[in-house]
Amino acid sequence: MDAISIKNLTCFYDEQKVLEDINLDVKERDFLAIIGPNGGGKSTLLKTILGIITPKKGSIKVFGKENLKSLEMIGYVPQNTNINIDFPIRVIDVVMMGHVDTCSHQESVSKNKFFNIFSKPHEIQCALGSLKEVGMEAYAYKKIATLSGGQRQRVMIARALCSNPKILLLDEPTSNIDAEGQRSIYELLKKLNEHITIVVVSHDISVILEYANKVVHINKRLVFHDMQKNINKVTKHEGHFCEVELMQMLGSQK
Amino acid sequence: MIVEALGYDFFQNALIAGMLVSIASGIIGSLIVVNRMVFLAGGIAHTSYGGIGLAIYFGIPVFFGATLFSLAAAMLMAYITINNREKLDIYIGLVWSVGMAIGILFIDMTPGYNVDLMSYLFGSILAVSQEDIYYMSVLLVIILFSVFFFYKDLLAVSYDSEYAALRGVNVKFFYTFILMLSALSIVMAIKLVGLILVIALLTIPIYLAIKLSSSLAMMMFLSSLFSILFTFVGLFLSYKFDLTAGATIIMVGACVFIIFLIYEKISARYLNR
Repeated sequence: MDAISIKNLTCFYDEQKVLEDINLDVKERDFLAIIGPNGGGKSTLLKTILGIITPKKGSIKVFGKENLKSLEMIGYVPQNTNINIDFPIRVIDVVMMGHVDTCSHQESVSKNKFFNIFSKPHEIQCALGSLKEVGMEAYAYKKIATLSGGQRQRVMIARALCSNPKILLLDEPTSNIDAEGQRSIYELLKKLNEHITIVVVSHDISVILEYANKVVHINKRLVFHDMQKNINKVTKHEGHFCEVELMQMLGSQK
Repeated sequence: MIVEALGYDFFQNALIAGMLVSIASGIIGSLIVVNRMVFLAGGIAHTSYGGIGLAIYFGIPVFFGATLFSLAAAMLMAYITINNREKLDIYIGLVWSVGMAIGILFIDMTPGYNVDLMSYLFGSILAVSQEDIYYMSVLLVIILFSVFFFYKDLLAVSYDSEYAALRGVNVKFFYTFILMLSALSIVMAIKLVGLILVIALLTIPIYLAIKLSSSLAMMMFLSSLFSILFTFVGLFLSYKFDLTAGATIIMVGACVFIIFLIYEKISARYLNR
């Protein structure tokens, strides 16, 4: 079964057509990169998959299920993780916000949603587990304000992992991080890709191509590239290259 | 001197009321500051004057009238912020001044001896009655219960509302809810420092606490503590030097705040070397 299956998707944003006739299948344990110009509809596509935006036409199925509103299957790392840096909150408390009770193996977890000022032991265990996965367990009880941009991004990935998702969606995960930090984030994603399907929206084309096995280019419409066939062309290329060069190398259908 | 002051009923009442107000404003002020709602809270505070005017005109208890009116103002503010992001400041400014104007007009129209306007603008803590304290206690219990009951949701909405929405938290509801809780704590604080100075009480202790806290709950606790400290010191100073209590309390807070800022600058410089 496909992890994500999108058929004839058309989306509007304030009267304006943002996505048109998108067809896309993401297999389990794919590492998909979504590239394209600003305003081309990359983030809109992610938000439609998440169920935040309702499509005008077409369907999105996640593991065969339509209209998935919850984040149980999907972990999401939003674009701007630099909001509220001064907020007095510890790393572990941020991660626990991602917790959904499916993560726990205890079936008898009380459904008591309220009077929840104190966290339950299994929530803490779950959060510590996700922090360990991203290599941040040593920072669990630090204030979020004391972390660097790259570390904070790892925490946001841990928050997304806290619900044991099968798919991880990331919106420009390295936009505010230095080159060194970018690479280490992608190394982390590569490791996670061993058991999770990964979808990344990104501008950092040259980095992402080393890690992704599929690339789609979105500018209202979608162009699909299977990296397996083109991988040699790309990896042989030295240094950075721009989007136009990339399109040429991949043999853009335009 | 202190012992002498403590002997008076009105002074004891002032201390108790001051403590109740401090706890409420520490908790709610924290929510207001982390949600960047200070301007909105200021708007609610001034709008509540309309409630005071209406209450005096219709002869209902003033603080009850102010409570209802400011709750309505809070809902209006929430509606405006959720639906009119671009013209936010215009609408808030409008509600702010229209509220006050309504209050003034209704007090004008009230026959007979008109109450002292200044006491609502700058507080009248030394005139607090036993009934006022009961009423404040009820409001504080509502605030404490609400925050304790919905703590995780309030935290999630305040920290990252987009993600909270994905988690199924009703962001608009909690946004409105925070503003309504603000209205309650503002009404309490009007008695202590008045509606003009209320913003200082909802921000100064919070700015001090935010630097020292590692969680929202800790920030609420420390803010309340600072607020109690300022209130008590301010009350004693105002008694000793015969000054307006509300203004004295705010100045005590402001002085501590300035000292804290200077200390922070110096220590940052020292550590960076």
